[in-house]
Amino acid sequence: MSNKKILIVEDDADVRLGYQVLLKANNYDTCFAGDSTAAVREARKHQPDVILLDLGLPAGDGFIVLERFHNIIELALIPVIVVSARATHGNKERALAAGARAYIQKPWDDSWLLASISQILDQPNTPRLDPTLIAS
Amino acid sequence: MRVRNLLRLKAYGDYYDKYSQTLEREVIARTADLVERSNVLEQQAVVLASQAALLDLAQDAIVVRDMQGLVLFWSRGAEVMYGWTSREALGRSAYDLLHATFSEPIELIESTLLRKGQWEGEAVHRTSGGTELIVASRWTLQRGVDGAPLRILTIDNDITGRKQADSDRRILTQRLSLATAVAKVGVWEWDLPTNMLTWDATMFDIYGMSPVVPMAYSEWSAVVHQEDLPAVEASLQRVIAEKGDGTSEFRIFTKNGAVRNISAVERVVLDESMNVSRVIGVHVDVTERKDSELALEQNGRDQMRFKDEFLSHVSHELRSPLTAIKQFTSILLSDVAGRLNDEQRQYQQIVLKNIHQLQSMIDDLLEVTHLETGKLTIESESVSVPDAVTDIINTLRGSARAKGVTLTSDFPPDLPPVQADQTRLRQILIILLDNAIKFTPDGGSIKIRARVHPQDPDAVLFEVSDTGCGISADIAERLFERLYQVPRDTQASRKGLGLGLYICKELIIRQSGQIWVKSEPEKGSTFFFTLPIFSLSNLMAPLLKNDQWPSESAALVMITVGLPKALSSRESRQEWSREVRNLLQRCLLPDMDVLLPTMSQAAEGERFFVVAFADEKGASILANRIRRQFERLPSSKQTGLTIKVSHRMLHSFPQPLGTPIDAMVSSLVSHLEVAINSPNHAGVFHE
Repeated sequence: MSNKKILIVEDDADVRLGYQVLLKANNYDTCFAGDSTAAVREARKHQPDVILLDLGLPAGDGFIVLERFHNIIELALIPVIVVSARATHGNKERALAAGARAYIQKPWDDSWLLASISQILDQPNTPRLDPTLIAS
Repeated sequence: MRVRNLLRLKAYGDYYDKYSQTLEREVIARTADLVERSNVLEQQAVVLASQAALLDLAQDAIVVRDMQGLVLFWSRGAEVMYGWTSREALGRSAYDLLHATFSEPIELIESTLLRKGQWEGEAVHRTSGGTELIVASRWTLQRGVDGAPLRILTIDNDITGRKQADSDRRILTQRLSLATAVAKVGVWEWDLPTNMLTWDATMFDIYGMSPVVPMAYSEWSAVVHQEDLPAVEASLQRVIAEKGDGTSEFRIFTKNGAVRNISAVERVVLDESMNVSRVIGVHVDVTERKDSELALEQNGRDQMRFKDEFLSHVSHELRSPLTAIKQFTSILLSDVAGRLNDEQRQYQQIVLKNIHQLQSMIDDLLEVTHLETGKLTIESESVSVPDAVTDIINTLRGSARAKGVTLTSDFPPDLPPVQADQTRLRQILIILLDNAIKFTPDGGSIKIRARVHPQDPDAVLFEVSDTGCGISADIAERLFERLYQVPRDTQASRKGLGLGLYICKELIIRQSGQIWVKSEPEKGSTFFFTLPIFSLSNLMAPLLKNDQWPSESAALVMITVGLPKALSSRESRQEWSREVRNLLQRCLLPDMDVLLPTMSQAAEGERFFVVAFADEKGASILANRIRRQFERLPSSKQTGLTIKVSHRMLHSFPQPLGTPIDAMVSSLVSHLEVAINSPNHAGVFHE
């Protein structure tokens, strides 16, 4: 069985390297995007199993990226975990409402990040509770 | 002859006798008459004298003059008023003496006097000292027996002072109205018997109305903002009832539709029988002041938002490099980049520990921002104290052991749950225990104790005691202040930001608890805090008292959500539980239904309760709506999420009218408790 692939959208090169080392050591394949335009391009190209998305990005923040994913049919079902240094309060609710599956506060504990990834990979293609469904 | 002479003599003698007797009688009668007359005269003289004295007693100047104007009588009052003595004045011309000038031509006065016999008017007279006096003068013409004019009696009253007061008052009134006009203070008067208003020009200016005097009360009340009118009228009525004064603020609509803010002061005017006859007051247009107050507030909010944004930004910027530091420290410690020797590992652990300190300081900073901007959320639910305490002890046992400090707990097994936010309770305990660990030397001990408050059966009392360095009483008082640092020179440990206990206090207060400390230097400290015991009554009472009963019947809806095995970790369960609560909240009618906090956890999953103020039909519509929403979730099929929704009516309703609210609450609550705590829900709830 081939390794699961994770797209990391992160503008800080040091943090990207850190991700790479950690995820590789835990048997994940990784690919990277450093800004919001690259995020969509790389997601289309690699069709990752999970996307780790930073909120503060050049050329449009993470919320814009989430919205773009949502509107592209082949990307809409890829689970996204938002990993951000921004305050959890407010941003978490906003990210979940925009379709993210989880919100992780930077700096994170590796064990918590890895558990979240594996948990989400265990439940493939399950969009989170969608408020639009409830409204109807 | 002699005889004859004698006889004659005798006859003469008789006559004489007779005559002399008559004469004597006459003399007596005359004398008596004279005496009587002189008595009358004397009496008349007395009367006249007393009348003159009376005239002299009067303060008015009384002057009698003949038709040529020569003074015939000059009263004592005239002497005092004009400074001329009676002796000096008699026989002189009154006009010349007094340099009299009159309010109308003298010819006119004289013709009036001749025609009517009287004249009244004002005159200016000069005293012997040269001072001019304004007098109110009354003239009466006296005629002789033949009807010809004989004398003029004048009575002068000095009104110089009154005139001065009148003029002073006029000046004051002018000044006041100038002041009120310049200051844009509108003056009004409300006559209660007629219900009419009298406004000054400024009032009409403020209200943008064209002057109407007097004006009906309703014309004013019609332009007052409808939201403010009841309060303003209540204030007026209170002023009338209390016979006092009052103030009020309200909004009005001017003729062109603009809203102005009015600040008013009102005061009653009492009549002779102490009844309120009028209310007087002033109105000031304070729109500009209000606007600047609003601007100031806005400014304050902007500053607060700026501080908030700045702190968010700072913490974000601090977290980014910290993320990379933590990442690589973790990588090194996990031996991914090669095995560390023991010394290297120890050093990396020190780095990691400091990263955690820095991280929690950044978190504290943000937390305080949230406390102050009202963004902090507290979701109260029923929290098991033993679970929370045990969980914290397990979390912190490692760091306590590393310092050589023992950590123990003590609580009765049947301790009731508290009403609190689970995450916040954890946060409070971590702050207190972290502090205790920090300030307790090697070999010391820390104890968490929890019990029902000995003085308050509705609260749980927590105690966190240590055998640390302790603090003095004056420092203990200030410990919970924001940014307060305990001044100490011997302590090697770092101080931190001084926000922990402040956050702790704020979190506890916001959960209806209290926190305090008892400490003795060198012996240790004990921090005490309380949290309310969870009770349905406490939870429901404010909801029910808040309004009228929304409905006459109530139902309890129970939702049991079976969580899939994949979601077995505590964090993920909490996450899902929150999602479910959000979904439920969206199914409810906000003013009719109440989602109860988590109160029981069943083996098969998590249980949620909703109290719906609805009849049987409404309750089953709600239950169906909830069921349908869950079924529509793709995740419920794919993850094996199971949902059971059932409901039962709470049959204590409707209560008879007039049942005290407390009785209704306790009746509802006891029904809820029976239904919720029933071991076999399937039996109680009909599916």
